[in-house]
Amino acid sequence: MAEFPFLEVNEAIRLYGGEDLNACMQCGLCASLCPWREVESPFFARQMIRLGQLGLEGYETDEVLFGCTTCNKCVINCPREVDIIGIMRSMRAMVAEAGIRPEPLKTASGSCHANGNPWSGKREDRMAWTQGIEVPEYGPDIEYLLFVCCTSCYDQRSQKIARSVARLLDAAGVSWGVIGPEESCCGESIRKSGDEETFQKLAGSNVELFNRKGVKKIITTSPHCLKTFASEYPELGGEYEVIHSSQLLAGLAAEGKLRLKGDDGRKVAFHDPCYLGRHSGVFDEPRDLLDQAGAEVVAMPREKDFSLCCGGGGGRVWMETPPEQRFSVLRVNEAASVGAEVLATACPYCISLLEDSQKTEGLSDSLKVMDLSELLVENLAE
Amino acid sequence: MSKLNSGQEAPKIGVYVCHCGGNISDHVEIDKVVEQAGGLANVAVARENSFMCSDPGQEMIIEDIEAGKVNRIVVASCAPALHEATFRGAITRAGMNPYLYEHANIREQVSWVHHGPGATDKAAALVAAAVGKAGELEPLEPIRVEAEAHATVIGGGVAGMSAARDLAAQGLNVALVEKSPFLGGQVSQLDKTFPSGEAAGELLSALAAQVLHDDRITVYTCSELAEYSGYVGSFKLKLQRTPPSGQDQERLSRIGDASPGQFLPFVGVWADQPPEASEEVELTSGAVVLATGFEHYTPPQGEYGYGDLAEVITLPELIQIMAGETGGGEQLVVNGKTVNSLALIHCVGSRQIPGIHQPAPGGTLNEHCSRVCCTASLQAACELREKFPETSVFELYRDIRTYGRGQEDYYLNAGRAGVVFARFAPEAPPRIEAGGEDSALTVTVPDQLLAGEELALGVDLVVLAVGMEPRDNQGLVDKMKLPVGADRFLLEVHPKLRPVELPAAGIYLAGTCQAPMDTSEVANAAGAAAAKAGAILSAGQVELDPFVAQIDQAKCVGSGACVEACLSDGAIEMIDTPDGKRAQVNPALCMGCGVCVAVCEQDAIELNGWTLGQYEAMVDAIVAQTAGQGAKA
Repeated sequence: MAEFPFLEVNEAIRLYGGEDLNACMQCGLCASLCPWREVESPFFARQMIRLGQLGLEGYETDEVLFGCTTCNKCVINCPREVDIIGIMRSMRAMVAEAGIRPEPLKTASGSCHANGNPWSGKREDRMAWTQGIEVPEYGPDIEYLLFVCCTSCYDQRSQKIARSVARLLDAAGVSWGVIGPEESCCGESIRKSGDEETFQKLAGSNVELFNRKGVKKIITTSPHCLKTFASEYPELGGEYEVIHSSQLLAGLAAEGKLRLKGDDGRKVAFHDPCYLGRHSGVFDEPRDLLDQAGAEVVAMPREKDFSLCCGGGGGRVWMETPPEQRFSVLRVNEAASVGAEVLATACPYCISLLEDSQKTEGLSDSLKVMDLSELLVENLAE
Repeated sequence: MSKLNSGQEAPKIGVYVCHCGGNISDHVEIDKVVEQAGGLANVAVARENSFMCSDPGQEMIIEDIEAGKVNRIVVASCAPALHEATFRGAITRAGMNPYLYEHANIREQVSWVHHGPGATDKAAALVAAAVGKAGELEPLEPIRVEAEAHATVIGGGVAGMSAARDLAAQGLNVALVEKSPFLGGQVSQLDKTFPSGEAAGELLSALAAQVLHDDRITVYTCSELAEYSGYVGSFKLKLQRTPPSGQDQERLSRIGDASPGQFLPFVGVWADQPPEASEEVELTSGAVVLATGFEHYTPPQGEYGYGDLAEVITLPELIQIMAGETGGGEQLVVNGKTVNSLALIHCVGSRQIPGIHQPAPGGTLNEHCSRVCCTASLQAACELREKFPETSVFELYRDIRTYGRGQEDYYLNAGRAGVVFARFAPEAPPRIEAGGEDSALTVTVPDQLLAGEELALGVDLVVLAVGMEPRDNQGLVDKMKLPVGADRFLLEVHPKLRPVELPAAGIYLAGTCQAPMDTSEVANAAGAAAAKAGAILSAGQVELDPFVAQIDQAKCVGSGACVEACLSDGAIEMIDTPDGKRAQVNPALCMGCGVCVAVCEQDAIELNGWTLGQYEAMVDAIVAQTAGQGAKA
């Protein structure tokens, strides 16, 4: 039975943010570069886009439409520079309107609506990560707003990252402060998961808050916040100078303001987070900091532009992935295979997934998973 | 004739063996070849060099000649096609007759195909043969023929007009011969050219104005080549001018009050008043440029529904329809019917595959890619989407080949403009049926981009992107003995080394008579053909290789066997002499093939540069070399 193309769907996808839909010439490079080729998966970006072009069904499953981790590897290699993530996001948004979304994503969206964060934490608990330390409140005389990722606000393991960043900023004499419970999730992953409405609500609320507080410069602990503040907030009226903590700290270390002992001595592999590396083009700063700390940086086969995604982007951080399909499992083994003692990274999602896989793979004794900030705090000069 | 050129002096042969960087010396023991050559009769010096073609290599030869050490040269290196001319040049610079030279190919014929000791033995044998022949060489002089400062260009399209203009710019008189009453050729059938989007009419008007206003160019419309003879520098041509009939007459009726030089859309540039009665024109031309163009493939009835369904048309037809549309409405309207959706099908009559596609009545297939249809289709698709945003456009393709400058943009822009593509396999092409749910036609196509799943497209129009076919030039091919390739287009000597020349000197190719090309490529080819023709004619005389047949009239008995056998019309003629009929060679027409030598029972014919005596010397040398392992003669 022949299929009849339904071009109205094609048009709708383009209107929802997938303007590039028909610019795809179906070469298939995206599908072949995709991290899903490393494991068994029915997700092929080319095929999904093809179905979208013709307005045909068959892509709406959790494994296909919601498989993409938005790692950006296909986008930066696409010969036509097609915004594949935009197309995928638009297609997700369309089926979301029909109520077809994986349950964990519905939960995350619901929590964002109710609490301003996807982790079902109470809004008033947003500052739980500051337990035991003093943090300055953001005000007119303060240079930087430190925006802590929801994951590091609520997840106990991740809170350590936020505290480490705070400690380093203090040590380097940075003028910084936090706003607190009024902050909402940046909305990056919620938007990629197809919930445009919630993104607009979260982002609108943040823009209003930041503008009211007179925010000019923002430090983020997560590359996801970095990307969305820098690229998606301006068109909503939020224009800020946004920098990831690793970028700022690398500059401070170079100026001598952040003083490190330089005696780490361990073999450290650096895992480039997709949103810091491929999405934001930050590759050297984290490595410079590891050098300054005296770590022996060992290269993994997949680095920088070709870094292997941890599997947590695009809303996948909220979804359950069977162990045999986890990119993070491949990644911790890759780090172990080059003799790394520490697998360092600079993203709360990556930490979460990599550390989980380090445990399930039985590497707890031989490979430590650390946020870059945690490693640097250990190396602070007195 | 200088002493060096005399050839009367006892042979003193210089042998120079090339390493070709390791290309030869990795498999041939150069020392041994040089040593054995040094021991051969008449060899005065035997030397080697890493690259004989380099300046130091050539200098070695020149020094030996100037020092009087040698009076014949043998170089053993690559194929003569590459460097024979190089070494003849070096010899000329040293003041010696360049034909006292023999070449041994020990790369393509030895080191690239043989390894081990046999390679060295064979190289030594080839060198011995060359030395044997060199001992028998006579000095020769190139054949010089007077060149008429006039060129004839056949075909009045972009190729012909460009070539005519470029020839005239070199100071030559030009006859531009066009079959129809109009200039412009197939480009007249276009609306816009790609990639610039320039109107075809403007392009042709500009080109035709240059041609029509140039005093050196005479345009012969309504003319065809009736008779052809002669040779480079002096071709004798007879043109037949005929009053227009049929389609041409119908087109002429559209002229109205236009004046000569004016462009009429989808007709061409009207050049002048056509002849009222048949007439003949005789010309003497130094060179001929063929610019006879192509024809569009015409689908046989039933191919993709063509001829059966009124809604199936060709791309040239669509272009003409669109040119007449002002784009006022949101949808394209054809024959009063609104087109909500249309499908363009690529590769119609191009890239045909034996066993899959139906051969033409003559048994031929167009296996070539026509090179312009992809971009032309995409250009049309972009224009359709722009002018008629409510008309959906599908492109059904096998591969997209938008290879030229700016052409990929059409592909990208078509996608961005919402054109939807589907890719089909040659063995599973789209099927066209009348009727559909809301459409005039239904096109069913297994889409390779969906693992072969069938798509059903409801469309109101199907457009076939028809390819280019060689024009039926049989008359011209027979008259001028033109080489035709397996693809039935006219065939150049060598695609890279001599891309616009034919084996017969003085005849050149310009444009799509040679292969499918776009208009820019046609203009390039025309410029090249004009430059090549001009280079020969502007010298006033043409130099030809002296390797032609020579008849010893004392031995000739006038049997005429050589005339019968000769492959080049007019190269040998029987003439009356006091002793009866005797054969005589016209050196300008002789190709030097040697067939006449073989058929002459009297051994009265020799081929200069390849005499029977020289052959015998070569054979003797090979026998001596292989039997006696380099024994001295």
